[in-house]
Amino acid sequence: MAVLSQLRSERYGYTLRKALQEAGLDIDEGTLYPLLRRLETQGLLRSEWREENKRRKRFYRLLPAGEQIFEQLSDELRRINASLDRIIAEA
Amino acid sequence: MTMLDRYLYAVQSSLSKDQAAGDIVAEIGDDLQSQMEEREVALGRALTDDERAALIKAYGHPRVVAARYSSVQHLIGPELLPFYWSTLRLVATIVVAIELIGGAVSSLVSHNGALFFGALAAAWNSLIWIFGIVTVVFALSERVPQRDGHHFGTPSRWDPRRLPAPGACPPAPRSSTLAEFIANFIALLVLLDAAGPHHIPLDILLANALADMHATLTPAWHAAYIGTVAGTALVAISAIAVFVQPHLTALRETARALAGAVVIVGIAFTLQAGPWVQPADGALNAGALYALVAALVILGIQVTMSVRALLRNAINQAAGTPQEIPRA
Repeated sequence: MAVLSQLRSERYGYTLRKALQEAGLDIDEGTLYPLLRRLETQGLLRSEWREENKRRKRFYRLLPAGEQIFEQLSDELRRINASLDRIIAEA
Repeated sequence: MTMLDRYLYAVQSSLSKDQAAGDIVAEIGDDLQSQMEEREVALGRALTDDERAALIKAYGHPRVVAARYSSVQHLIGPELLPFYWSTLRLVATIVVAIELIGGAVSSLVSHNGALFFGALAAAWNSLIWIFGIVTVVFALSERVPQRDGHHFGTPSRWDPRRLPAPGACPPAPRSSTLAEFIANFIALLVLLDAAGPHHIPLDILLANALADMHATLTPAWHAAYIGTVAGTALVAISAIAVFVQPHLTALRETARALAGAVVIVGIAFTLQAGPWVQPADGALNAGALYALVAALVILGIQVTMSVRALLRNAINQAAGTPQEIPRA
């Protein structure tokens, strides 16, 4: 979900990982890149090779199906958080 | 060729043919290159070979990195594992039991003890083969595309309505069924040995004792002998089945009741066909009579208890109430 949230604007792998790291979520590259590949296979994002700073980089961006899944997951997470907050408050 | 190139080549070699290996490796190379550049900017100098090596090593072993791109990252996954273990246990128990029983019987029949040790070695070899074959079949099943969301080897047609009622068929402890099998297996060997070769000390003692008294058993014993062999074999086979599948307690009780009944019939014929020892007069015949009657009483109690357990089981299953384990 964190990856989907960051890819609403276009990024390439390394900057995506740094952005997640700065947001407090340290995903190692061995997990991130295979995950991006699976999300692309599922039709949630698209990738494109482009040259930047004299090096070819693979840029990722969310597709409409990915945006939809992200919204669904966000709603679900909010519901779970609300439930947990209630349970904890009642304890 | 730089250290990074060698690393990327190693990753590429470990990726499967159907993966976009060039694509994957290019992305990993770009990521590592970016990490190195960032470190160099932070340090204000070029990285040494050792520092580059440490950075590449932290990325992971080439095979591990490549394996993360594979769709299946385990030999047998959690969905298949329970069925893998039960299949392995079932096949191994049946094959080893058949080989050991076959080896024991053939060594008794041919008067050659080496045959039994040969069967032991064959059973060990079979275990290795069974482990290999079952593992390969399940590993392949894990990789074959799923049909209707189910792997090959998992029961897709199970019906919650046909599951047993709680406690209606309580599982039999494996230690108990194993002990039952061993006891009946040994009894079967002694019985088979008694009919001919007399290799087993107990049979030799009995044969010598009768010879000392100048007495012999009459053919009246044939019926009891055949009944006892059949009953013992039946209980031994059912013990194997229940050892593999502990929920088959009803089968165990049925086998016990049936075996008891078969032996009772055999003894009844033997009782009718007396005298049981030649010469016919004397205390030995009276002893044989008492022994046969005592055996009938004990077997009668056993059959009654088994039938009672089966009936209680059936009633509890119909009512859906839990039941304690019938008998060990």
